[in-house]
Amino acid sequence: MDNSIVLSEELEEKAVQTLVHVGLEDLFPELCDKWRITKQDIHARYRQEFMKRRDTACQDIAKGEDSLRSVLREAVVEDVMKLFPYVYPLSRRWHDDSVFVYYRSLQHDEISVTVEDSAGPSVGQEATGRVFLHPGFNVPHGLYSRDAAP
Amino acid sequence: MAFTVAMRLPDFESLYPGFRAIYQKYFDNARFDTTLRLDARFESQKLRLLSVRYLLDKSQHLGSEARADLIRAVIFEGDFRRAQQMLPRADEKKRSGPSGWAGRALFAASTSSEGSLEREMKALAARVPDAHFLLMMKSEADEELRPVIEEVLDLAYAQLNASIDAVVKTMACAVSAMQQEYCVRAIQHEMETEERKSQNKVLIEFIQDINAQALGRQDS
Repeated sequence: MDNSIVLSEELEEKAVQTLVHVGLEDLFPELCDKWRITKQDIHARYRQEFMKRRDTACQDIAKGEDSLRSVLREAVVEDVMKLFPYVYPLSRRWHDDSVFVYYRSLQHDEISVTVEDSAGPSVGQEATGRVFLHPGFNVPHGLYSRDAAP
Repeated sequence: MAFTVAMRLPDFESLYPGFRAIYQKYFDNARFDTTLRLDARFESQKLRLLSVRYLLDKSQHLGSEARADLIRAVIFEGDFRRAQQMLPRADEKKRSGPSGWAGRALFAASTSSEGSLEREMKALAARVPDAHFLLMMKSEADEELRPVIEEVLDLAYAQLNASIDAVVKTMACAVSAMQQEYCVRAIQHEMETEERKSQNKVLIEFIQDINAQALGRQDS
């Protein structure tokens, strides 16, 4: 009877672990101890590496928070401007003509740099809600004539 | 990946698909469209300004003294009862033009009881969106109203600014938390994959060692 042991290299860890428990540990105690210790070392090393990289990532995210806030603020202000437009008529050149372009801005005494830089009397700009060519209302009569109707 | 100065919002959005939902949730919850009406001072000034603008617009025949009285009563004293008493008298005395005050019929019908002018004006103010009101006030040419208008615009600006700051603060915290969660998950996944590779390599070495020792014992 052939008592030799030949393990397949395709065996999964769980299966090998079971074999260790049921007999390999008694037959090859040094090898089993070495495997167990090496496994623990690998796990500890990757756990340590994970924590190190996690801390670095969290620190990087915290460092970027100021930039994130300022970009978020720009985005929120733009969206709020679509709801609360202060209007500034400014003269601009368009197709060799001078036209009045109405800017929207939250700051009622100035236009933000981004709006000023990107502003042009184009349909695209109108679509962003930052600039529009015509005042939306005939103030004040448009309001009163409509709202005062019985 | 952290947010860097060079990064634009669209890049960030494509990197973190969950970002847009967070942004929209916090923006919508902020209810910027109703922010101003929650401020009692703004509401009061809006009511007074809209009222006086309405009344002046509908009684353009008022003399300068009656006009100033009306502005004082509504804007500075908030005394709608006095304004109400003032209007018919002024209208009788100063009526001009063939048809007189176009809004008279409306007011005659609706301001018969005390306090009804204020009620009517509150109803009018409620129908005017805050943004529309601000636009109107920005275009208001009446010099007597300018100081109050400037005050209201400053109030609106400060209120919106405060709301924006608050939203950005909480939104940034939520976005940072989302970033952290995303990064930790990604790192964890990477570490687990690498650890599995190392463990598999060691497992194969262990199996080879067992097979070698077993073969050695058999040979001996």
